[in-house]
Amino acid sequence: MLRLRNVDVLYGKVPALIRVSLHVRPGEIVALVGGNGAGKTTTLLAASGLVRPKDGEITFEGRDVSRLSPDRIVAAGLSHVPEGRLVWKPLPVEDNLRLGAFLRSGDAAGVARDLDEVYGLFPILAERRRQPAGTLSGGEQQMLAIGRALMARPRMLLLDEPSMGLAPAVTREIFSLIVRLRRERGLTVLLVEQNARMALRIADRGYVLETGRVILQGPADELLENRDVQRAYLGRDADAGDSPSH
Amino acid sequence: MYFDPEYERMDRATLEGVQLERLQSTLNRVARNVPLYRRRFEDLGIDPDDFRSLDDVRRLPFTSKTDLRENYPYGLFAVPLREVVRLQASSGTTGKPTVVGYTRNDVRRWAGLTARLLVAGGVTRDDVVQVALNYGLFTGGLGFHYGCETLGASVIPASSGGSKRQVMVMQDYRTTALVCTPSYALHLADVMDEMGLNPTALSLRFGLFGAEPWTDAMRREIEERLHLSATDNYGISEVMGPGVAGECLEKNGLHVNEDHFLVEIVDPASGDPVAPGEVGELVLTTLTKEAFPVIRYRTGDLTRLLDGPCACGRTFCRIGRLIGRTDDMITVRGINVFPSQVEAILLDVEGAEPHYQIILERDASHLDVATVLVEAEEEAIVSGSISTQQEMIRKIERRLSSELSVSFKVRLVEPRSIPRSEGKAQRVVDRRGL
Repeated sequence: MLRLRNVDVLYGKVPALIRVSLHVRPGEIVALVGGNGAGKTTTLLAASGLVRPKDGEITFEGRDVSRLSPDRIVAAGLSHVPEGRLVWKPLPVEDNLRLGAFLRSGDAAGVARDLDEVYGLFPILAERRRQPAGTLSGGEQQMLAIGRALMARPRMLLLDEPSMGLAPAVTREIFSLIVRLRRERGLTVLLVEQNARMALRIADRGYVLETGRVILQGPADELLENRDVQRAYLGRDADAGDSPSH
Repeated sequence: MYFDPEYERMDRATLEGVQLERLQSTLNRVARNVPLYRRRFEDLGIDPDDFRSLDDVRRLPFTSKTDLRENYPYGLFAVPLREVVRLQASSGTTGKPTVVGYTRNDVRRWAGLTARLLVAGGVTRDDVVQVALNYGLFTGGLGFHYGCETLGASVIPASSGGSKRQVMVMQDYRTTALVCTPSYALHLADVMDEMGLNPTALSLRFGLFGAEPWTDAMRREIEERLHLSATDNYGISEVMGPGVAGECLEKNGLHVNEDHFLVEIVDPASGDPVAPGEVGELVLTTLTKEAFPVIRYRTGDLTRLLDGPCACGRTFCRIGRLIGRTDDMITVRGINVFPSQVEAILLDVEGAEPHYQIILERDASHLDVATVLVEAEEEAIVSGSISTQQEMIRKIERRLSSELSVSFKVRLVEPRSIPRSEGKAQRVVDRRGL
């Protein structure tokens, strides 16, 4: 569905992505894990047209999107939920949601139907539809950001750090929602997470980025088993506690 | 039927994307973790970031059996030993064995790949599979064993040897699928004959045979005598073990598990890629192995790429039957011959059995003399009229010399007089003292 092949991105002279190749098949949840500055967010920005790769191919559903403007990419069915949620805090919840449908100005009936659907998914947003978004809790703002992305009727979501700043219980709720969106709407998801363990638990496959390069990739359960991943990203000291005979 | 339909039927463009991603991360890992490969990148002045297409792999040198020997036992492991959960060794067809390690993920992935081959060969979870390959350092037995369990079939770890017991188990446990070497399958058929057992009374349906070169005629014989559908499979311990490639029920070449192994066929002498369809040496690069990745490993096995899609729906490329090893190759008066070529001719001659042995000697004038001992199909031929014998010998000699450009002397020997192997058959006895 989404394919990056040998993508290089530079920030000034500093390489942010080096020859990144990855793919996401329809209906998959794929996790992109790695430390700070590994290139996770840059990968999403490149896919959604917000940064331009210096080299490489990016295709969405077989179509080259590497030179498309961000709004054309959204119109093609690929929506980005940015890190830090970036909801419009003074605006009411419902107006924030409508912002997500800005490309569908001629489709008022469709937008109203989708709004109902988003409220069905997130009843809490329906309750607070008149409140300024800034009064929502962190978890509610994350739901709003996802709901806003859904208003563009995407077939695929790029999710950047949905767990950032959220309490563990709220994070679990957001993650189970991601799984539900895939199950109920067939939504394809590329998920960037610092919380590698959680992301890999809901993902089918994963890629591990380090200093702008993909250094490991594979089925999510294999990555969870991989000791390099455990040591570096899952906070487990693989050298301690096992093999008491040593 | 497919074990892993998503990958086994993946369109080529997606598959090549998967291969490239996996190749790139494999190269990143070996450059970082394996001194031999790190040195090679340094010597060539390149780094893994430079690899942007599958063909770029050709910029790296081959990995040879010698490289493996020089790094014996653990020098080429890409993970610390504590992450290795299994150690096996190459079967040592030639020279000192190689130690290969597997992480937990490797073992699981390996099982999935042999499960694919079992399913391709007709086996389902309802089958009772007798694995009559050696269990031990050799990868064959345990490799298929885990595949059977992953598939959910009932596996009998019979291991190799004890032929009468094998037959008894086959009969009593109602074995439906047999996994062994093709020569051992024929040996079991002989043992059944000796025991007066009619194979139609058995429950066998499918057989997966490999670990040594064989022929289509041998397949027909195994199928007729054991009443099963026989498929060929290929594996090599240095690369993983069984699970690298195997036939589907179309029986028209072995599908390579290309999402895990990158295939090249090269000229054994020059190392250049051969033209599509030409016979050459199989070179494999592992794309997913964690503990013991190999880059451009020269397998020493000879085969060719087959063209065109397969009716089974698998999109993985196919290789032809393995026709021999580069190091099995014998040179008779300067001409290269593979034992499998001799075998193919014998199978085509009426009255001759595919059991044979090639004896190489030097005569008084220091010239090579090659003799093929061939088992006659029936006692009657050996004890029968000299003219019948002579005619058959001449027929075989003529065909060998016209097709292989080498003069062989042929001697007919009694049925079952050539020792049967319980592992790989010894086809060549070289007494030239080379």
